Amino acid sequence: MAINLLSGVNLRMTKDDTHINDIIEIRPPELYSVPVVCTNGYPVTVTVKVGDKVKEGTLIAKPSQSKGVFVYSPTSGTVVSIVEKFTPTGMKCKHVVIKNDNLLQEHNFPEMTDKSPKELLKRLAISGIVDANFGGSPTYLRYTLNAIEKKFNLYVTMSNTDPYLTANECLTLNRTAEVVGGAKYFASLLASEFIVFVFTARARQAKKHLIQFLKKHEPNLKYKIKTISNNYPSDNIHLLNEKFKESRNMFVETYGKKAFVEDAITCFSFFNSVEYGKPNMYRVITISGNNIIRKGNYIVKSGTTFQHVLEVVGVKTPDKPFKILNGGIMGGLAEYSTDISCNLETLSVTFVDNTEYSEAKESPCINCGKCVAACPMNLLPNVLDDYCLRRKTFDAERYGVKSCIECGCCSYVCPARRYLAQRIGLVKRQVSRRKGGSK
Amino acid sequence: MKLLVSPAPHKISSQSVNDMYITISIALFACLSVGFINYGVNVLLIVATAVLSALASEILFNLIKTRQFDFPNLSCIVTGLVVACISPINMPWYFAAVASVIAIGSKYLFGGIGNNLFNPSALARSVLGCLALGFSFDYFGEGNTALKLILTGEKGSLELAKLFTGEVAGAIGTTCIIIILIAMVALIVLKVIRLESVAFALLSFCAVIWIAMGFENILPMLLSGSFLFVVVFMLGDPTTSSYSFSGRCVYAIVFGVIAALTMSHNVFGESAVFFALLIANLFAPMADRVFSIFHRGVKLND
Repeated sequence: MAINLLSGVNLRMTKDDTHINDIIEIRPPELYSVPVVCTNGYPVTVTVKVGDKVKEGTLIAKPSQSKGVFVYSPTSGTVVSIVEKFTPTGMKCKHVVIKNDNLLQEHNFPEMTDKSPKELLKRLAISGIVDANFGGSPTYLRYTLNAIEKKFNLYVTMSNTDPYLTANECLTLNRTAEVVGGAKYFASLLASEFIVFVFTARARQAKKHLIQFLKKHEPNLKYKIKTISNNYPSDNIHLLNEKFKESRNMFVETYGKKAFVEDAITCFSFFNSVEYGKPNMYRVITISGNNIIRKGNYIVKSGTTFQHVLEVVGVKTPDKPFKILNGGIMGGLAEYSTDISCNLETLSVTFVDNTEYSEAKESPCINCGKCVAACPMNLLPNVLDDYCLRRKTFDAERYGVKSCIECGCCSYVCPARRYLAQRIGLVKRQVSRRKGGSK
Repeated sequence: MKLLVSPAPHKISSQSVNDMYITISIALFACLSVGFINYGVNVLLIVATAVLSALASEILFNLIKTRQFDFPNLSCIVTGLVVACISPINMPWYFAAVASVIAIGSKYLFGGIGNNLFNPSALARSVLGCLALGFSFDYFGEGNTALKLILTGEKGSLELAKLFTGEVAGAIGTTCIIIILIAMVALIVLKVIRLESVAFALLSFCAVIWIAMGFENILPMLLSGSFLFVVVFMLGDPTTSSYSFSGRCVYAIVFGVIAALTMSHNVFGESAVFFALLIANLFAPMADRVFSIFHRGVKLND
């Protein structure tokens, strides 16, 4: 079944101009509490003990199994404690608490002399780069030895459709060389004929800038530019995978993915890892929302608490109730505490007050079909909602509930204000749990 | 510092169900105001009776169903206004009240708002048409209706310009085509009704009329017998139409074909289009069930 390319919602919200200014490194906090597992749930072994001295880039946890992720220290300092805490996505895991000694000692990877695909794959494997869009699974898992040098095309998303997310666009405008460099390394892993840069229709400025840059600095690079709709969530990684799939059979062995889609942020991290030997212990994220004073794109290191982020950016009305969202306004998770730490899957942090978020009372479904028209995965949200209320998980599975990407378009458009996305998410988890899956 | 926690999404669209009903009500008021100008004060009595009895019966039926008082949403007002619009001008006021009670009652018979199989107003009009013993529902004010003139072969006395301005005999709110066309454009632009429903209903209707009665009868038939009013205000009723795009197309085509056949063969007189809508309503859930195979999602491999 094909995806619904005309679907999604036009959010009619202007993007903030946060993409124009360069990225800012957030002021280092006194304590970092680094989560040592990502949401894909593969266990890791902590390699440091309380009292150990670490440098920025020292390995603090390594995978216990083949599919885990390497975790590096975000700062130089001393390990104060190892505690169990909740991650932003609500998972309880070990956190290594490191006291910053402000000595700025670094521990980098050795310089790469041989940049052959196999060496690049090794560097990608140990760099600690994870897919924020695929539940935090390590990126190298998609680039296994079965996939490299098979001449698959690489797609790089350079802008987002979410109203607040501008990190990709910001990097395209201000760190073009690094992004293009990272994309070239990924492309050489795959031996791609073309690199396809994907822009949303709104990101005209970034597109123009990239074309000019490529003409001037990379005249021999074979590339294509593709423009996708502004409608949220047309830049979703699952939709792009489906849209740009080249042949289903070709990708069976490559961790089930149909096309290789990376974003500008991952390219930027990979470039730094290869060129400067920097392990990935940070992520470029957009910190925005209408309740914040200093909006912008920041380099936030893993383990930085929301409390510290809040102190750095400043909140307009701290005495009134507001929401801290780990993600954008459509798909973000509202956090219950500021003690939670950002991790490498944090796409953005959004602070919204009551003028921005909407609340409404649920009323009976009138079967208008707006949710059906908006669903990008071609599902029937009204039917799935009904199955959830009647606890018919088998029927929900038959109607493809596992395909739901939880974008929230159905809840957004629903005139009866039904809690569609929430209930479909619930029934999706019930189906997965019944099957014994990890998600 | 107080943090609020709620599930995503944190933003919802501005269009609510009541907004949709308010938009339709404004359009219906426009139609009724032309009826008031053309037919006089009796219109006010019918409208007031229909709307108030719809509101009262909504509250009453809801009280019986849920055992608690909820302030009703505006769907009952829309039902009342539609009942008034499709009523003949010389109808006694208590008939309007009965029609509204039947309309709202039919909705609660299936389980309340969002569960009814048939369009409430069309069902009320049809039931009343069948039950109105000794009262001719085919008589509308002074003179013959446009549909009657076409079917009896007196098309020569029909002035198309008067059909547009509503200066002909007919149901209260359904005669002024200009207002209905303006409402159609506005409701499509405001995303209250769907373009595909309207387009496929009109196309299928025109095609069948062309085959059955010839090309020259398409426009007069289109403008008579409350057809356009039903297409704009009743066919797009979200509850009784299909929720999928393909389902809506089939539903609209079924309606257009049956309306054209019943109207051209003079089966139910002025009520033909309402019976056609009720038959099409039966196809809507079937179409949804059949086309649900296209809405099973995309298999994700992660």
